[in-house]
Amino acid sequence: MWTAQSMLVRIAMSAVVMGAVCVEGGQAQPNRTVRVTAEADPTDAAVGETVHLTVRVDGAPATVVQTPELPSTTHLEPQQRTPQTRQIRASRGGRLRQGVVFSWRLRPRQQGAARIQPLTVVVRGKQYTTAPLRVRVSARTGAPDAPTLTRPDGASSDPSLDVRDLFIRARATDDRVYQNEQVIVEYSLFYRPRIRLRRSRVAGSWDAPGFWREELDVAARPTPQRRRTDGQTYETVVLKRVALFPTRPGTLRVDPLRIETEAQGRMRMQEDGPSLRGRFEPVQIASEGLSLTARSLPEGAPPAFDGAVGQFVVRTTAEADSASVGEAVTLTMQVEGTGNLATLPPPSVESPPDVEVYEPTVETDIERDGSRIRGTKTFAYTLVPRSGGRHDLPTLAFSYFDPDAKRYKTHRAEPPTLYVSGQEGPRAVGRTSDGLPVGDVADAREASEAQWVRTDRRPLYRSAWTYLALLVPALIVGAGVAYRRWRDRPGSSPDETTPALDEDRDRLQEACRHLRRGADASFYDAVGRTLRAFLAERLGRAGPNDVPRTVLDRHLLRHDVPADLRNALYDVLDRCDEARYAPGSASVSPEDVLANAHAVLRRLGPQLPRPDDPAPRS
Amino acid sequence: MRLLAVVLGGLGLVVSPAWGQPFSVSQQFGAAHEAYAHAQYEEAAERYRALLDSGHASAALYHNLGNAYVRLNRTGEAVWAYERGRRLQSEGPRLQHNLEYIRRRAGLPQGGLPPTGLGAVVAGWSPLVLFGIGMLALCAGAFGAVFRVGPGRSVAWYAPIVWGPVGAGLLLVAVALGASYVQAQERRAVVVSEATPLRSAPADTASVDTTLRPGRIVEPNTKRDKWARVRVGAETKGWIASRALREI
Repeated sequence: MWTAQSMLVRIAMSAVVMGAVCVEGGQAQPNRTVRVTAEADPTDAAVGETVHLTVRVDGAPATVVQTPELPSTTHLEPQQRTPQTRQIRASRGGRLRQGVVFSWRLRPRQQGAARIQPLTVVVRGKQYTTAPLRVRVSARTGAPDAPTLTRPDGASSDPSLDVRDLFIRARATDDRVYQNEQVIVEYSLFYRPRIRLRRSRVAGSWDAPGFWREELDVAARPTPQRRRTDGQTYETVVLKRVALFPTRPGTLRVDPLRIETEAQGRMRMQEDGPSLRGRFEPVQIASEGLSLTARSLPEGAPPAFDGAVGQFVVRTTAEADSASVGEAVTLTMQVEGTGNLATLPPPSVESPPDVEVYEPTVETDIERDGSRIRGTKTFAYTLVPRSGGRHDLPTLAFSYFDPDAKRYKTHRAEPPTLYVSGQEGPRAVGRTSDGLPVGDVADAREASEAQWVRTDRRPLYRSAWTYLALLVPALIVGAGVAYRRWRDRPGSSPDETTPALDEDRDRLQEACRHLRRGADASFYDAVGRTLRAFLAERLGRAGPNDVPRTVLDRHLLRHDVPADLRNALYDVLDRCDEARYAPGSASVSPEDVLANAHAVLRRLGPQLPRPDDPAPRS
Repeated sequence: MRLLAVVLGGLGLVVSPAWGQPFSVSQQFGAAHEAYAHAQYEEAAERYRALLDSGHASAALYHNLGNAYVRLNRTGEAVWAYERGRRLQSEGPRLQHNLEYIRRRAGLPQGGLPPTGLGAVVAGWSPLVLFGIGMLALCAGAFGAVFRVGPGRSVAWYAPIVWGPVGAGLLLVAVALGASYVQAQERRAVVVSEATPLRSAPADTASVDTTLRPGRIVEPNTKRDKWARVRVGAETKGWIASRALREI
């Protein structure tokens, strides 16, 4: 019991003492002067470097200081919107000094004077304003020597994502090489396994001035590989692999590779607690730049050396060791190995007496799927002997510098001997069976061979003549129709063999159909009915079967139908009746009957009035 | 028939000047040829170019111009000239031989850039020939339509005789125009500058994907300012300075 009472007393006393200390502390601060200062470091920076803006509040605890907003800046790009905050607690002369420091990272964007406008800090409701700051920005001194991660203006800053989580690493196989020696530069993307990326693309340009460049193949859809570096586990992907060949000695720079991507980090709520995924935010990451030193090749290059650097194997073959005069023989040199094959010039070949040596044909086969550029280059020389006998072909020599052995090497092919038969002058020296020269272009052509065309000829679809030509069929139709109308105009002399008018033809269509089917009886019946219907229509009464031939003749005479036409009409009608009532006894072919019916109708048409015409005067 | 003769005669008058061989052009060609024969290749090339500038061309002219460029070691322009010549005379063995020779000598891939899509279908077609056949068929159909009427021979046969040629003619004319359009869209160009960089973007500072040799055939697609986006291989695309190209 005593023990319990004593304990309560002790707790109560402790609480009183601690409260007194807190009150004293809380009351001591207001009496001190609050001092707010801003500082930029460094004040001389290059484009792309980082400038730290630090605002220090002395004389006030962090609990009474409002977190300030980043002031507006000129030519400085903020790397973060929310400042890093650090509290200060120090005891000096027995007094407790408290304060808080806010800091931002800024990046100079262009050369010149950069400014940071005054910044306002509110401490216990009272505003304190700093002085404006200036930073002198110089031009970029060179490529950054470390990977960077930047965010575009206005993007939110994901605290779970920084350059240690996501970066591009550039690595060269060697930083000190000989001129024209191959060096492989590889750019790999490193990102922590918890990070997700999307919409990645190369940003800006990449260049390597002073180098001949040959791209090596990398997977278009690579599978990330897990690696540990600096004590951390990363997923890595090779972005670019390029073979560089220095074209001149000196210190040469290789640009950093930049990509833009959208990254999603993992927001950790508390230590060892649950974690949530943040939003995808756009970031730009860049590798470090590289600086390579290219050394001049050592002295003492052999005469056959023409700049080749690497490791090569040389094979030389002759197509044949015997030939006849004028027959082409191919001498082939194949250079295979690792090095800059693209710029490898053909070895020079001295022309032996009485053998013509033509410029070689060159074929290059470069393999880009390995870790280095390698391949084969083949030079095929065409030799044409001019005289018979034994000819020692030229020696082919190829020299190169081996950077591993640090010395020059020379391959010499044994000069093959060519035995040539025949002594007479060649008829077709260096020519193929088609008469075309071997190892040269075909001769120029004579003026008589030229078939001239205009160079300003337009494609068919753009030529106006094309569309004008399309009018030709229409003109033909128009001209034909006009010609027919002219021929069939009233008053023109009728011809028994000319086609009937469309109206008459339409009348006889049924007869024509029967004729095509071979139904003769129906054909004659249709012709007879057509003629009778026509007469009934034009004479305004029943057909000729219903009236005696004399009555019909009187009607026709009244309309001045000539005797020959009347006889032709009666002849057609009689033949139709004859064929109907005595089939097989027709003395005239159905085609002739049809033609005559056409002619009769065509001639009667103008003679007999139409039903709507005024009646003729009797 | 008289009408047909008049129409064909008129067409002949229209197209015959294109097949004529101007005397003065032959003279200029002869002068250029003489300069070439005397190994004055620069002058020969100038004279051949002047002929082209005057609006006249022939496969022989392009052949000789290409030869002059070969002698002057201007590989890209030589390939351009030979390729232009092949457009006028696709089956010329000498042009083909010269092209193969210059490509072998320069280490260029043999063969050009094969056309794709419809261009591959109509490659080698002659729209003019198709159009001519189509027009003849149309004219034949028009004659049949006009003179189809006659005693005893009218309606039985005119439909297939008239409308068959008209339909075939219209189809051929449409195919000819379509082939002409597709062929005109299949553009090719030759790299004529030395070691031309193929860049990833239309800017001098853009990264260089590869370097193209003079004489390399490319397919220009898009133009932007002084840059042209080109297709080099089946998949390789990039930007190249327009001045480094000469269209075939």
